[in-house]
Amino acid sequence: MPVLKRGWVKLVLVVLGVIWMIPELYMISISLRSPANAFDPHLIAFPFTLLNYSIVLSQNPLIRYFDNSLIVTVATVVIVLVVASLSAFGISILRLRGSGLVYGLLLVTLMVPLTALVVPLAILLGQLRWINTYEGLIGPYSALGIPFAIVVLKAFFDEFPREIHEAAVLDGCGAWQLFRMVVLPTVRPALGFVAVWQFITSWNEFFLALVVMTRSSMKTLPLAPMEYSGMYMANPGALFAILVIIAVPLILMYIAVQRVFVAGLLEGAIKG
Amino acid sequence: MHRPIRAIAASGFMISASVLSLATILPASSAAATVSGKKTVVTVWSWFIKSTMDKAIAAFEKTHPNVVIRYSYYNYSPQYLTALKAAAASNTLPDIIGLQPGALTQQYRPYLVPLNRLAEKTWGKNWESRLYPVDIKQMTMGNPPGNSGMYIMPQESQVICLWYNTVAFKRLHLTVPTTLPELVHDAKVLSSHGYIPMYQGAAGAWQNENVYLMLADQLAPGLIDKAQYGKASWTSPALVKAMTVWGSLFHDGVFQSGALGDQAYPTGAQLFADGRVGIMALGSWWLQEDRYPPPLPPLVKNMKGFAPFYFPAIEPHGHPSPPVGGVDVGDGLTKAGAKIPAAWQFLASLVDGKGEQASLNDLNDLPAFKFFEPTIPLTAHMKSIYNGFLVKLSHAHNQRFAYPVIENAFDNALAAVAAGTESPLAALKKVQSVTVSTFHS
Amino acid sequence: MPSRALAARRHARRQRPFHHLFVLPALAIFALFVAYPIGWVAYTSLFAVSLHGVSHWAGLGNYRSVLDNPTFWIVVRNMFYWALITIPVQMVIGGLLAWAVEEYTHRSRALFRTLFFVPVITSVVVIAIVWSNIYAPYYGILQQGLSEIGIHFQTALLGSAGTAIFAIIIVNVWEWTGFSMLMYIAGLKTIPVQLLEAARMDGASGINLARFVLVPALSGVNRSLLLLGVIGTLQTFPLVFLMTDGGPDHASEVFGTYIFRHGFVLGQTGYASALSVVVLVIALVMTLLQIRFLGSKFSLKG
Repeated sequence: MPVLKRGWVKLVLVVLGVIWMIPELYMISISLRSPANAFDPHLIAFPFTLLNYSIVLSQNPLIRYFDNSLIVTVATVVIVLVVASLSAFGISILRLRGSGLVYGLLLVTLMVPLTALVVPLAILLGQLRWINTYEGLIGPYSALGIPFAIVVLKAFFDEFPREIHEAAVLDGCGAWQLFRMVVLPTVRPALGFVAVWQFITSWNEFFLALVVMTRSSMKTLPLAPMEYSGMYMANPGALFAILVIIAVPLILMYIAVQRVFVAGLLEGAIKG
Repeated sequence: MHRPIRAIAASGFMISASVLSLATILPASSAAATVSGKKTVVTVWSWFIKSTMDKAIAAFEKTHPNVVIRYSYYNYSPQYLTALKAAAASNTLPDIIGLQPGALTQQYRPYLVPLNRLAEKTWGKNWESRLYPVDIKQMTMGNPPGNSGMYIMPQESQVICLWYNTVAFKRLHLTVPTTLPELVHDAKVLSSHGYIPMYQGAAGAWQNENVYLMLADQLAPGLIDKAQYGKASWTSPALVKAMTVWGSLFHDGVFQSGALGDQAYPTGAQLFADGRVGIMALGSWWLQEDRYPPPLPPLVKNMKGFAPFYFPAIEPHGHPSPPVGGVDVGDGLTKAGAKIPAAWQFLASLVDGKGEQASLNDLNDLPAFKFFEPTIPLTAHMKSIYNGFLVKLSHAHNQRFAYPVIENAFDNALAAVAAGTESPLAALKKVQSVTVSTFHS
Repeated sequence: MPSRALAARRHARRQRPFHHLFVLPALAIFALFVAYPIGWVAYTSLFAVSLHGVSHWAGLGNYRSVLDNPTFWIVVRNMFYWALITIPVQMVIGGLLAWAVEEYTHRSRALFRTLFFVPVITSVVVIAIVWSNIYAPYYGILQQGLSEIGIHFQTALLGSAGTAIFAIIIVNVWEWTGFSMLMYIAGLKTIPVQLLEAARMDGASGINLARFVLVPALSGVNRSLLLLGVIGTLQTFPLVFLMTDGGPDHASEVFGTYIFRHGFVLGQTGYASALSVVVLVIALVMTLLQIRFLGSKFSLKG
């Protein structure tokens, strides 16, 4: 009986898994079509051609876009990790006065729709002369990422045993040493989780990028489909080839680091 | 499992210092950088097709070796509108921006300089006589009273019309419809043979406006132009009748089902080029499909599978719609661009020079200045279509709106009638009340 | 021992001025990129622009126009639909997937965990374009696929006022269910094995096991997903923006697209700002409600 049940559950999982993958398969399928069968209403349409990839890669500065995305994303991840772990430490372990207020502000920030802030952000970035610079994206991305990072890290820090904290303080351990030597090493899984999450969100963001990066040489990958959808009007397959090129690196990266990500979540859950 | 985590965390702190310092070293490259090496840089943004603009730029740079044109292409909506707004807010507009006459030009007028004097200096006192009357009229649309400044120069003109798929019509033995019932009949036949009858990208606004303008100008020429300035009522019988016909196109099977969720570009254009659509409301710019970079669908080569016609007569003894049109795309010179002589020179070349010649040879659209023509060989079919458009352009009705608020109210009315959520009269009453309150505030 | 702890606390208190440096960077970034823009929005919400581009004081006029506009109430309705459908559906499907993956798979566990998570890491630009194609009438695979099993649509899902918002909600559920699943997987790990064994010994299974053991033990995950779901609802923008731009006839309009339309397309900065302030106030109220009733903690523990 359990074996039978296990079989059924697995079957359902496999079917659901296949359904879940249809959009991604469809994307790849269209990218392999010539204009002649681009509008075939089936998931798979033969014959396949790799022509679209060679068209897209020869005509567009996608490598440059990739580099820009990488620089902006890595810098944002680092800043978010540093700033958020410092703050979460201050709020959770040091229990600074006003922590509750700060934490409330952060929660509100999480709910503010980005559209509401884009015009003043553009004015601000113009005054800073940050339009078309990496800082122009790194700054706002960090600001929008830090609240969630603090919320997550605070949850982990809150579980840090009070006794260890007190013992460390009595041993003459200052706040900085406590942070650096004692607390930080114990929340590494959480940092891994935050890093991967921030990487995904920054890498995929497109609306601010559209506003800040107006020069072609500074654009990030999510802007590529919009920039070229006009150019490949007569050949939808080429547009979908760009979509594949955008989506695949991040999926591969995730598969590579998913252990860190899931471990962060799991370890945090077990300890937390 | 622990090693990667440690690596991330440890390297994070080490990299942080270096990245922060890196951020300060990176050049704070602002858009105002006008000189690169010894060359003057002119920045241009528009939704004008990139492959054609690149040819216009190459032609200009050949004769101006000390100038570099940097062109950024955007899809018109929403990307271009977003970028413009943000750039205006951050004071980083480029030197030249692509514009539509009327509402869009008015929105950015505070950032633009009037071009009347520059035009006179470049083309002489009578330069306006070389333009088409409908374009001239549109260039000052929506200006405040007493302001005769021209903040937009037409880069190209257009006539809007309906195109049909000649291959499909021949196959199904259909004739080009000359009356509304014939159109409905043809649409039924097309649908029953698996074609999309008349493709309407009703999710966007421009194609809706165009079709309605065809209807309204057929029933009461010029009336809608009075209504948008508050000089006639939107609830006039002819406009209500046009709105009723507009709604019927959705409910009588003329437009494809689900038209309200569809976009004319890229989807509709792709399907039409692919030969899967019977009719589509486009315009003179459809000729450019022939000149797109290959691979191309077979029907568009030399426009083999397409021919234009005008909206069939609505009333039993009426005539087809008169041509509607005007400026396809224009350009404005920003206050920053006004400081660079090369910016105006390039703009002028796009309008009446080597740049424009390159665009015309890509059959991008009709010229802004009369007597300009494509210099590439065209088939007789192409040539007759092109010349037909030029004749129509000289007496085309205006297709543009002066004020964004009124245009938006009108777009909403079209969408509401199409969706069947409002009656034609009720929808137009709303437009009328917005118009009245706009001119009284 | 208590005195030792007391001494430690006193010691900690003495260093407080320096301690505030820990939160300073976050506060500085917050002030520059969040507080300043919010202040700007609040200020400009009090001005309007005349027909010919002259800015003038409007007081609360913009707010009155916002609340008087029937489209605003369509937006509010859509936001309710969004929250009331996406949050529970993602939680239920995500929870069941987590249970199935953790309890019934071994070697393929990592595969399934990743597979359902792939949509979460796919760029929303990509998702929007691909799903628009899936839904497309005439050549999309959904209508074709359904017609092959005998279901024929009269209208296009994204193109009909009655279905557009729900069609996008389905995409959102597809995109985010994997995230819920992963959270529940983490939550399941917090349940002590002994507890599960004891429950099973007592004969609990199926619904009973879920009701009396799993759901209470996963209340931390539920609360966190609720918090994130509300955030996600108010932040909804790119998907709708790219798939329908709020249409047809405003039927799928959400706060993000509605603000965008007025601020960017129509150039009504004052009106768009007033709208933004209204959304900010809603966000503030939601935050206070959550803290009051659910606590503010993000936790996976019951």
